[in-house]
Amino acid sequence: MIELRNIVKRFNNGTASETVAIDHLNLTLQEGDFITVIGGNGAGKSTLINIIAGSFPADEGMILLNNNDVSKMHEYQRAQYFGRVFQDPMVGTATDMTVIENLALAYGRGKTRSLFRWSYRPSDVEFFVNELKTLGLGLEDRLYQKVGLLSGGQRQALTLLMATIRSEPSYNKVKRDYVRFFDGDKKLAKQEIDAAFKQAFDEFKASKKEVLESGLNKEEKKAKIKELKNVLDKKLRQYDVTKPVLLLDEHTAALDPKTAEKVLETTDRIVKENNLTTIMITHNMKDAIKYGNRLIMMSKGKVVADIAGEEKKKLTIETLLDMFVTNSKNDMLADSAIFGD
Amino acid sequence: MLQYLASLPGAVVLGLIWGVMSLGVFISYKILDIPDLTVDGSFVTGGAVCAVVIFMGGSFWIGILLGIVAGLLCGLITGLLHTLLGIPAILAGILTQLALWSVNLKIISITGQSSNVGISARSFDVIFSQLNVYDTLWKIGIIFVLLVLAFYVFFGTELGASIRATGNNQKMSRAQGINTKFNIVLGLMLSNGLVALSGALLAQYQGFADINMGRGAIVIGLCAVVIGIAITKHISPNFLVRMSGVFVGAIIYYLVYQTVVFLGLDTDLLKMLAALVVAIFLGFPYLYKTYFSKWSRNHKNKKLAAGGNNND
Repeated sequence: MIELRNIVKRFNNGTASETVAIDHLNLTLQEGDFITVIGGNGAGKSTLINIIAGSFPADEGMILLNNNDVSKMHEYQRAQYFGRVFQDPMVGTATDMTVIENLALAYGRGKTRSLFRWSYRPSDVEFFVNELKTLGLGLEDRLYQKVGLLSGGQRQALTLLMATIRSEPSYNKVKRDYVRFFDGDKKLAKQEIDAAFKQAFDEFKASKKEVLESGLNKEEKKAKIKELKNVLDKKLRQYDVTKPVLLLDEHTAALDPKTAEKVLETTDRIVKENNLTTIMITHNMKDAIKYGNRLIMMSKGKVVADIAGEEKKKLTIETLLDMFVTNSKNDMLADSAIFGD
Repeated sequence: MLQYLASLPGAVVLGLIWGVMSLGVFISYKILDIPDLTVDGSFVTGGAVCAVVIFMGGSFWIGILLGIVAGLLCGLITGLLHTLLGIPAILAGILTQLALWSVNLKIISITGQSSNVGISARSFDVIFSQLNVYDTLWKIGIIFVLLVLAFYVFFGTELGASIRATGNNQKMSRAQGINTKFNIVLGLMLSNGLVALSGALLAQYQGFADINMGRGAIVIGLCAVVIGIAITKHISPNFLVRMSGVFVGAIIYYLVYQTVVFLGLDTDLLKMLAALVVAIFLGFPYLYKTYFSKWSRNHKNKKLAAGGNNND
C-alpha cells in the first residue's frame, strides 16, 4: 500500500517565478491498484511520479509505503521497491550495454553490487530468455546486442521488463523488510518472523533427514530434497511484503500507435499476472479508461477526480472531457487542445 | 637510421608505461563519461611518492604501492568535490590538479630537493630502468597483460557492470538501484590509481621524478584513447580488445613521437602536435556526420534526380 500525505512541491522556490507543481496532494493506493492518471500539461503528473520515486524531494509531506515513511530514502535506495519506465525510450536503458547486461542490472536491484559475483551467470541466461519471450518481440535472439541498436518500442518493452523483474530478495532482506514495513510493534514483528523462519527451517531439516535416512537411491533423494527446498522457499516468500510498485510515466507517448498498443497490452498482462500496484500516466483518454481499476484526474497539482470500480467501467471519453472542462476552467483552452482526440 | 631503429624498443616501452596512464583516462573519459583533469597532478603524485620512498631507501614495491594509494586519494578528492559539493567534474579535476602542484612540491621536498628526485638505477634498486630497455620491455609487458585482464574481470562483475551503467545512463542507473555517486567516486579513484601507477613506473624508468613530468599528461592519455578506439572500432567491440587498443594507441603515439624527433622536428612543438592529434580525432566524427554525410546525401540525390537508383 502506498499513501501520499499532504505532498507539496514548488519549483523556483522563493523567486518571482515560483510555481506550485503539487499542491497538498493526498492519495492512497491499495495493494494491487492499477491507477491511470490524466491531466493537462503542468498538472503535476510527472512531478508526482518523480517525487514518489525520489528523483527529487518533496517540500512537504510524507510518502508511506506499507505505513512506512520512505521520503528520506535516496532514489537508488527506493528503487528496490519501485520499478520505473520513462517517457523517453532513451532514458530507461543503458544503450552501450547489451540486452542481457541491462536485464542483469535490473535483476540485481535492491542487492549490493558485489565485486565477487559476475554481472550475470550462465544459469541466469535461461531465465532471461524466458522472460524476453513473453514480450513476443524476438529480443531473446538479440541477448548479446547493444540496446542502442533496438527500436524505441523494443526498448520500452525491455524497460518494462526491467522494471518488473527483480531477483528474489535474500531471506535476510525478506525478514528485514517484514519488520520495517510492519504496521505495529516492530519488536513483536521481529520475534514473529524469526519464529516463523526457524520453524520453517526446522521442518525442512527434519524432513530432509527423513529423506536421507530412507532407502531411496541417490537420484531420488536429490529430487526429493530439491522439492523440499522449493516448499521451504515458497513458505518463506509469503513474508515478502515488497513487490515492486510500477511507475509508468507516459511510457508509450514516444511510440507509434501500433507499438504503443502492443506495449500497453504487455503492461496490462504483466501487471495482472503479478498483481502489481501500478501508477500509469497517460495522455490518451481511451487508454486511461481501458486500463486499470481506478482513474485519477489531476489539475494544478491536485487530484480533482477519482473514479474507481464499476463507475470507471462506465466512463466514456465525453464524460471525461466534460469533467475536465468543469475542473479546469482557466486553462481549458490549452488542455482541450491536447485532449481533443 | 640505425640510431632510429635502436630507439624503437624504448618508444614501445614508453608507450606501454603511458598506456597504463591511458587506461586510467579510458576509465574516466570513456566508461564514466567524465573528462577528469586530475591526472596531470596525480601522475606526478604517483611518481613523486614512489621516488621519495625509493630515495629514502625503501623497496620499489612499497614505493609503487604507496604511489597507487596516493593516486587513489587524488581520485577520491576529485570525486568528493564532484559528488558531495556538486562541482562540475571538469572543474573539480582542475581544482585537485592545482592543489596537487603544491602537494607534489611538498612530497619532493621531503628528500631535501626542490623540484626533482633522482633515483638512478646505478645507485638505487628499481623495478626497471632505461639502462636496460629489453629487461624493461618484458616487465612492462607483464604489467600490461595483468592490468588488462584484471580490469576485464572487474568490469564483468556486478560492481564493474554497475560502474559502466553509471557512466552510460545515470538516471537509469539510479532507477535500477545503483548508487551512482559512490560509483563515480570509485571509478575516479581507480582511474587515478592507474595514472599514479604509471607515474611511479615512469619515474623509475627515466631515473627521476620531476614536478613537471605530468604536464599535458591528459592530452597524451586522450591521444592514446582516441587512437585506440579508432583502431579497435573496426576489429571487435570486445572489452578486452578495446582496453588493449588503448595501450596500442599509446605505443603508436610514442612511435610517431620518435619518428618526428628523428625527422628533426623542433621538440618544442611536440605538445602542440599532440593537442592537434587529439583535436583531429575528437573532431573527426562530428565533421564526418555534418559535412561528409551531407555531401554524400547530395550526391545520391543528384543521382536520383538523374533517374538512377540510390542502392549504392
